[in-house]
Amino acid sequence: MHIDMNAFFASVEQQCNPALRNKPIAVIGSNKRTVITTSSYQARAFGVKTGMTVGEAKKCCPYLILVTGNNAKYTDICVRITSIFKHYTPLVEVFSIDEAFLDITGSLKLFQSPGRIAILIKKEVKDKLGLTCSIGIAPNKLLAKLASNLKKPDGLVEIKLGEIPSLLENLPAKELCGIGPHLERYLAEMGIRTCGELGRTSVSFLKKRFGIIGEYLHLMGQGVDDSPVIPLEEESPPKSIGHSMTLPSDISQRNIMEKHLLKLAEMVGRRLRRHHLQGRTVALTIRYSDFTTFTRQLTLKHPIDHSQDIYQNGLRILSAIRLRQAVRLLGVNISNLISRTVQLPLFEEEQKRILITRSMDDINDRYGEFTLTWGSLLFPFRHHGVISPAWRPEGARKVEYGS
Amino acid sequence: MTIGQPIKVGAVFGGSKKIRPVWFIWEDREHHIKEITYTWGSREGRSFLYHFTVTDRADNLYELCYRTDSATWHLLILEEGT
Repeated sequence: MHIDMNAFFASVEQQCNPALRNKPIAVIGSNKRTVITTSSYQARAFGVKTGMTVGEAKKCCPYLILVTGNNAKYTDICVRITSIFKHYTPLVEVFSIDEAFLDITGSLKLFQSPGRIAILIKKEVKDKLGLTCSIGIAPNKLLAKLASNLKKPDGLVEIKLGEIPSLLENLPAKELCGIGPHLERYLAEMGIRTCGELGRTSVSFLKKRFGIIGEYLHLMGQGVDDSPVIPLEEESPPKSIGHSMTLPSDISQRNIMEKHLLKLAEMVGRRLRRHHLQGRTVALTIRYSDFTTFTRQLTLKHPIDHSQDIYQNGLRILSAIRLRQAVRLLGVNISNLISRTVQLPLFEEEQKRILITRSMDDINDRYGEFTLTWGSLLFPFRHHGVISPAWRPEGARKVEYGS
Repeated sequence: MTIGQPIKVGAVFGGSKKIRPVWFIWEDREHHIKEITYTWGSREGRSFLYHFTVTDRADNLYELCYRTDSATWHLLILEEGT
């Protein structure tokens, strides 16, 4: 079963504010430079789409009402929605902030049919949270996600085994999850436009062109997918921890960039330490004002988790880059992760550093992020940011957003 | 009074809705809550914050927030009804 919350952020805002119900609204970020995060179905009828600038959206829909998003609200509601799903099966995979897969195989005896489970879930989500969702039921995840997409909003579509070939025969290949615009274009150049054509194309031909994923593409074209639903507790640990931010304005001055870098290093360091992780590879991502984006990284001899170490290494990378333009976005990422090794520090300087970090962490744990911070970060900072697709309700992938 | 400062709120604790604000004082006027349109929670350090969006009889929209660490209520957002 795949469940997709309909126009999630916009629907939540319409529930919060009765004056917004049945009106064209769009949720935007809190930064000065922001794009449409999502829009209500009333706004979508005018052509307002996710990713549009505010100017573009207003051109489509002059009466569009803009609402600044509240990530703390949406993440809390996602946690509550997930707990509703767990009333019906323990096998819930949170795919993104507004989508989940459920394996209901083991629940059918208790609830009689997949359709009944879907209706009960829809009712409970609507009654408790006032939100609608589209549900797809199918023999596997690939088809369940396809099914939920077939009717929006408030849809319920079941694909039975016998219906798969006729459904996929003329369905555009881009409708399958995992086939994006680039892959769609490559396939079209090979004369493959539909799922039927993809499923009939030989594995060896697809492997020659796409490597190992060629075999998966062939199976996808036939509606075959044996990937299991992976609940949170069974997810593999993150391979990296990072944060990025779009700067309030394009910046050329290195000293200002360094302040933002320190902020990001502190955020990454905090998450590493909270989850007892360290990493050896520090990566710095830079996006210029013309959207050219690149990443430079260095791998250290010893793993780190201290914010100042992350910052200093970020600075090393930054100082080696000759910036061609003003910078729009900065990102810091630590990978090559291991569980933190506890080593008693030899030198007094290092012992002091560890104690100070521990004290800062304790205070920020108690009173909130950046309650106590570095002197050079003169202004208070709350992470509003964008909810990453990797966000999860628990664990190292959970980020607490400021309200 | 400024947005964000502590305010006086009359609330019912207990029952199916664990906390239910009933009225609040803003700019020396008592506002009776007509509808609690939505509730959600957030964290700030170890403090849990309960958020409520509510309307009054004039259909103005407010966001009230109850902080568990200080047991105080705050008005975070005010939107006048049309």
